[in-house]
Amino acid sequence: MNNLQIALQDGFENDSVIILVNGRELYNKSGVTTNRVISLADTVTCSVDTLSAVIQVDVTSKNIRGNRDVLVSEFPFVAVGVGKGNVVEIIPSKESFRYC
Amino acid sequence: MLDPANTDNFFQQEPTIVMEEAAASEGASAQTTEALTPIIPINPVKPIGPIVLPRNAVSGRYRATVGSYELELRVDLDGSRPCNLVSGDFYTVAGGVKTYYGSFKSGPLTVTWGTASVAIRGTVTTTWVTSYNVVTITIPRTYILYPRGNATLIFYNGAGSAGTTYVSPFESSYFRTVRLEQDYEAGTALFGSYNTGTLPHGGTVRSLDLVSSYAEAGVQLVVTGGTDIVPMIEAGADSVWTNAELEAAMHHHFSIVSDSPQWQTYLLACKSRHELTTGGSTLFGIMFDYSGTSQRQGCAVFQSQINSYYGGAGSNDANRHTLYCYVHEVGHSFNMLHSWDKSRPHALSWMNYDWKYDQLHGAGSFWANFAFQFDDLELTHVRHGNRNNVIMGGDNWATNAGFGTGELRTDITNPVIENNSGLALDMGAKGTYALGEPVVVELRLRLRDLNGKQVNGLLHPNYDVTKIAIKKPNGSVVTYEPLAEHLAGPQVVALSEANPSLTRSAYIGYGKDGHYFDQPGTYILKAGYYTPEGGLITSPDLKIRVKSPLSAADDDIAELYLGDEQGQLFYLLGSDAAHLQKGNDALSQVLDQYADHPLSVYAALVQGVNASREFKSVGSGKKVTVRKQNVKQADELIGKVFSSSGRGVGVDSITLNYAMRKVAESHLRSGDRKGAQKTLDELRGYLDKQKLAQHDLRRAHARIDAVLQG
Repeated sequence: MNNLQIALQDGFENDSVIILVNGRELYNKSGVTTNRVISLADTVTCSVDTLSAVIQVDVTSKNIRGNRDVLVSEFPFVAVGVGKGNVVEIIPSKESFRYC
Repeated sequence: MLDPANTDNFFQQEPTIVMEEAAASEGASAQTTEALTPIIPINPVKPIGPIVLPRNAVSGRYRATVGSYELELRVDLDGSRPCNLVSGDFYTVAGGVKTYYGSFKSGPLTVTWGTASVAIRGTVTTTWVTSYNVVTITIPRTYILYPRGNATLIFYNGAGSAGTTYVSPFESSYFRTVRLEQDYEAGTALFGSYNTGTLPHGGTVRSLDLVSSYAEAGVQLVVTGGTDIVPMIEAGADSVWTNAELEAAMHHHFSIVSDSPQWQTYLLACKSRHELTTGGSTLFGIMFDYSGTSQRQGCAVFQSQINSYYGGAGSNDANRHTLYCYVHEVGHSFNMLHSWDKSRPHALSWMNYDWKYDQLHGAGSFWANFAFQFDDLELTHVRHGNRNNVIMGGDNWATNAGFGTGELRTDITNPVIENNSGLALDMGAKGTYALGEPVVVELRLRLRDLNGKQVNGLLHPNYDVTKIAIKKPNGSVVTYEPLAEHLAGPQVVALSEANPSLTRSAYIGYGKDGHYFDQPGTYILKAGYYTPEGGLITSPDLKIRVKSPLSAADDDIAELYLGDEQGQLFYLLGSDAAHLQKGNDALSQVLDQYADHPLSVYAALVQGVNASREFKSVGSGKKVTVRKQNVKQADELIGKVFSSSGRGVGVDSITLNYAMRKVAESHLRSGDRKGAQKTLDELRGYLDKQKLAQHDLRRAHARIDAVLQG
């Protein structure tokens, strides 16, 4: 099993967000808002039994979505944000995220 | 309406311009003494020349009281990293009560440096309504060892009538002064200093602590000395801090906590973690005072988290990050947002995250290049932001935090107030284009600082370091967005006297928004380059005209070139991709039908470069098929581009250099070294005839030589 932590970071403002991992719903919340003091809105963790996982992020309140195949065994941390041009960004990382 | 810029209704005061005469003698008087005849000959003593004393800087804070108004004036022209602005805050003083009235800040200034004084003139924006929004300031330039002169500020209205004059004695070299109280949780200690040269770094090596880091920004932190040791129990029975507990600890221990805006801030160094530190996220620090009233008074740094993440207390990495967190969190107390929240993700600033910067520029690049400083616009904010935008307890967190009314925006269409980067950016292009003709600009980053500069050489707008704004004939302004942003670490290039500029050519005709020059008319272009320090320098405006088609052939070619697929092919310099077939068909039609038309050279360029390389396609069943390079076709098509360019109707020399090197490489891959040599010789001959700067020519030759060297 590989642990996967998804951090909802920049660009959320009272949004409704659904996150699917390998097609299964992991996260479904409304009112998701980035705390700009630390650039973090929320985090969610799960275990996946495959080396890679397809992460699908649907920001329903903005009617935008994105997905990415992440090699979880190497990149167990994933940043999700809404970037320039209202684009869902999904950025895998080898290192955990530090905030300040 | 009260107006401190024009207090005529209340009193009249003649302007009093105090021009302090420098009292120091510029020449040392010759001394005469009776000399004994020397026993051994000695060289005659040369007379000592006049000793010229340096003059004081004029930058700093001045304070004046006129009637019931008190003015705090900030002049920022000649100190460390000057912002070339003046700003001020007004207070009214009545019955022993001092109340904030309003702030003003200048736009671009006209500054005249005389031997004895400096004269400053500019327009100011004010937080109150006034027609007196032009200021002049005169400051005598005194010698060091002598007191600084008074700054005499006069407000004027649009008709040139003088308003009120403020003769302001010098108060401090710092633009703002803030009281700092620091407490620490039992089991940890306040951080001391870090030597910036200990680990890979940018900027000069020096020892920095929280106070000196802000001093470099022009802000004086005065430590109150009222340091408490905060018992761990205040983090709750679970020894995990919440924002509410931090807030309570601040109100309990911060001896000067206030319910009104004050220039004072609080930092708590914590041993226990914050509740937001979870399995995969670590919180190193937080400005926890971001709700309720009188926000931004306190912040906390979680030192045990930093230490455990970076190899233990006392490790160099931990020390570096602890300093960074202290400065960063106090920065939030000054209402500074994170760099990327201000559209400056490339800023090498205390307010950026190292890992976010590294995501854009490569692992380790933040610390390798960070000079331990704020970026230019952050300096403008902390030094000159309207008082309530900056002062602790003033505007709520993130309100007017660098993008509010009257604040500077990182908008390349705005004029740069003053460029002290040591660099200049130029952009050139043909003056006129036919409709549909690919628009290519030449970007040149030039050195203005004789000491040399290291720059990021990725000048092409594909890399998001350079942006190009396009004002279209209908007046709308768009920013050129490349089809794909290329993520790459900085390509460090040292500009020096011997290598004073860097030039790149960039096709900007097509991008994410489609074709940018699809209408006849006049376009105005401006480029902006983000310096490694986070500053922005902009090019002068570049005007280009797209002509209406003059003939049926012109019209037909414009139609054939302005398709989306064709735009993508120009951007990619060719492709066999099936979804671009329609575009390739259109380019082929231009070559077949309009072979002699000057615009056909672009179709030849795209298809010639494409022919010079193989192309891999992934078909059904993921089967990869390879279309081999076609040297003969590449030779023919790029030969056409070459001969057109020789006649002055082809492409620019950088593009031609690229295309011909591709053809030469194609010859080499097919074992035809002679053919490669011939192509490159022709290219050398062509470039030698162009009016290129010597260092550009050297660089071009080096690229050509590299082809044969493999």
